[in-house]
Order: sequence, then C-alpha cells, then structure tokens
Amino acid sequence: MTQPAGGAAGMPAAPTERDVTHPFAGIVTRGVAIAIDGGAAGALFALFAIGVSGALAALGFADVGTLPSVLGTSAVWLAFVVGYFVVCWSTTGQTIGMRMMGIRLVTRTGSPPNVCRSTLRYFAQFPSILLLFGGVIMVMFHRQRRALHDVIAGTFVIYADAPVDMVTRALHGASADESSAALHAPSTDQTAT
Amino acid sequence: MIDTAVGVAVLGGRAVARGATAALMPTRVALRVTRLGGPLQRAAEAATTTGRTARRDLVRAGERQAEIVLAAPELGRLVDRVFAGPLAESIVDSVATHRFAHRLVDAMLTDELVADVIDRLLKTGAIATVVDDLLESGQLTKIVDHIIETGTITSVIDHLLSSGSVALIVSYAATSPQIEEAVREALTASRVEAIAAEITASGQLERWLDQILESPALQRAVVSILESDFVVTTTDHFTESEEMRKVLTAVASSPEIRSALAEQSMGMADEITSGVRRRTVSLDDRAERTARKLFRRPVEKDA
Repeated sequence: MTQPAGGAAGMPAAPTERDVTHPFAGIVTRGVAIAIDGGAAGALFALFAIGVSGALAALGFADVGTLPSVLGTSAVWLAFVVGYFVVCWSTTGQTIGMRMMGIRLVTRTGSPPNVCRSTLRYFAQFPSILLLFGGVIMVMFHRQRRALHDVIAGTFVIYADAPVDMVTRALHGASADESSAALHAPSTDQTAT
Repeated sequence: MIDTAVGVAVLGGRAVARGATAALMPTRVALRVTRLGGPLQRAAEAATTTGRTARRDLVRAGERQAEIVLAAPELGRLVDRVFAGPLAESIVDSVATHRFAHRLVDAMLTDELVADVIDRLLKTGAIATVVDDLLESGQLTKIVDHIIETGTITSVIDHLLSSGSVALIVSYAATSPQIEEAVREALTASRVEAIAAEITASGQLERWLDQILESPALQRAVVSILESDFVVTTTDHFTESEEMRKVLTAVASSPEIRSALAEQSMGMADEITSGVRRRTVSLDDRAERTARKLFRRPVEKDA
C-alpha cells in the first residue's frame, strides 16, 4: 500500500477514502478551502477585535469610526490575515480550510514553503484576482493545476492523501529521490528557494 | 315484597332486643347493688385480653400459612392448571359480557378505592412481600408466560378498549399521587433489578416482546393511549419533576456520556468532511474537463 503524502510535516494524513487520480488539487477543492479559511480567519479576527476593543474602551479610547481607527483596524486585519496564512503555510503547509479539505501546500521538494515564500505567495494572490480571476482560473488549464501565485511563489497544492510516489513523479520527475525523501521527512523549506 | 320482608325482620329484631333488655333488667340491678360486679368485670377484661392474643396469633398463623402456600410447588401446578384450562377464558368472557370490567373500574376509581388500597399496601409493605415471594418461588415468569400464551391479555385489552375503561385508567394513572408513590417505591427498591435480571436471564423477554408487539389488541391499546391526554400529562409531569432534573444533571455530568458525545460529534464531523472531500475531488476533474472542452483545449490524462 502506498503511503499518502499527508504524512509529511508531522501532520496526520487525511482519510484515504476518495479515489485520487491526480496529485494536484483542483479549483473546486481549493475554492472550498479558501472559503473555509475566510470564515475561520474572520471568526478569529472577530474574537481578537472584541478583546482589543473591549480593552481600549476600558482604557478610555472610545473613538470608533474616525479615519485613524478605521485605518488602524484595517492594518491590524491585514496583518492578522497575512500572519494566519503565512504561519499556517510555513509550518504545516495547511490552513484550517486546507486541512479540512485534505490538501497541502508544498514546494518542488515536497516540503512546506518557508516564511518568505509563503508571504510572496500570499501577496501574489492579489494580481491573480485583479486579472479578473485569470490567475485563479489558470488552475483548470495548468498541467500541474497551478495558479498564477503558485507559479510566482514556486509552490504546488496537492491532495494530502495522494500516494507519495505519484506526488513525487508529478512534482519533480528528474529529482524524484529528493522529493520522496522530503515527503517522508517533516521539515520546513527554510533553505529551498 | 323484599322490602316488606326486611321491614318485618327489622321490627322483629327490635322487639327481641327490647324484650331482652327488659328481661335482663333485674340482673343488671343485682350486679350494681351486690359485689359481683368487680369480679365479673375482671373476668371480662381477662377474656378480652385472651381474645386479642388469640386474634394476633391467628393473623401470624395466617401469614405463615400464606408464605408456605406461596413457596409451595403446588401453587405452580395450580397456576398451570388454571391457565391451561378454559377457566381463564371463561372468566374474561363473562366479565366482558356483563360489562363488569367497565363498571368495576368506574366504581373503584370514583370511590377512591384504588387509592386507599394502594395506600394501605404501601404502608404494610404487602406489595414488596408478594413480589419477593413470587421471585423466590419462580412463579412470576411462569404467570406472565401463561398470560401471554393463553391470549388472556389480548382479550382483557380488547374488552377494556371496547368498554372505554382504558382512557379512565390512563387518566387516573397520570394524575394519582398513590400510583406515583407506588412507582417510586418500586423503582427505588432492588426488586426491579431482580425482576429484570430474572427475566433477562431466562431469555423470555425477547419472546414476550415479540408476542406482545404482534398483538393487534396491544397496538389498539397503544393508539388509544397516544390519543388520550396521557402522553401530554405524563410528559409535562416528568419534565417538571425534580427527579427528571436530577437525572439530567447526572447524565450531563457523566464523563462517559461526555466522552461518547464528543466521539460521536467528531465522527459525524469526519464523515461530513470526508463526503465533501470526495465530492470536491470529482468536481475538480469535472470542472477541469468542462473548462478545457469550452476553450477547446486537450483534456489532460491522469498524472
């Protein structure tokens, strides 16, 4: 029995119930994962904002609706969301939504991307969306189901329960041994570029 | 005619009583005047004490005899014969023909006879004694078995339904504090566990349930009960009771229950997400094929 790729990064593999014929995650699975992440990040930020606003109100800072407060909240929100995605991608390769949908972000070596690569991928999503979602629709036509931000950041989104040898062949046929070793050994891609 | 006879008898009795009073008048006077009154009174007191002791002994002897009878194997054989013979069916038919059950139930419930009887039985502990004896003698299973096999229960339920007594009984059971007390005592005693253990160990519970559930009479009885106010009243009663609150608190605080609920919730969540994953994987392929066909691009084969 082939070992699923989800065992990498120290995370338990997703249930191998589905019939995976392609190691790379498609647009629907990724879209559902993003939607879940939006809800999760929103909920986490709401809890954070309630705590902070309560603390500010207790300290006497009750000016809500002014330009500085709106800008400040937006900046905190952006930092929060960026932090959420970057931390999740660079540690386990999975956000909450990706974990639920059984997909994982990896580099060509099969390990999770480092912080710089994760940050780059996050901000590369903006041009993907601004080009009338052309960078996202690209997933349906790319041979390895990569979006524009994946190409820019050098990342791949794979099914976590896809067989390792299938992922290895698909990721990097030339250096299959290296990829296979990386998929078995949980470590972040701090050195890979 | 009967009234006249009764009237004559009463008048005759009164005349005899008056005659006796008049005839005994000299004796009463003599007893009061002479010193014979004291010894006679003492003799009467001694006779009273003797009589009281004799009555107490008689009751004890009766209880001992009852215990012997309940424990005797002859009782089992007698029960066998009664249920095997036509007597039980005849009694039921007779009861139905004369609408005896309905009248009896009506009279008992309206006269609060049932309440008094249950009250006394609870105070004297007679129910517990009878149940204990039945359990010890092993007759309980046999009695229930016979009742079900002979179809007596079916006939009784049919007759009660046709007479409309079920609604009366159900209504009474739902509102009577005596019934509630009896149920509470039965539930708190260890006898319920003993009965349940005996029935379960004998393997007859399943058979009984099958036979009862197949009975159309019981189905009609259940429908009748459900259509009555019994369910609403009983539900309200249970939900508002202190016992229910205690049970819920105990259940909610049980670590086993919490663990089981958590496991079940996790299992359900896993099942849902697995289903979503399977669907999205197939949708990934389908969306990709559709888009490629739309833009006349070659469809990729599996990697």
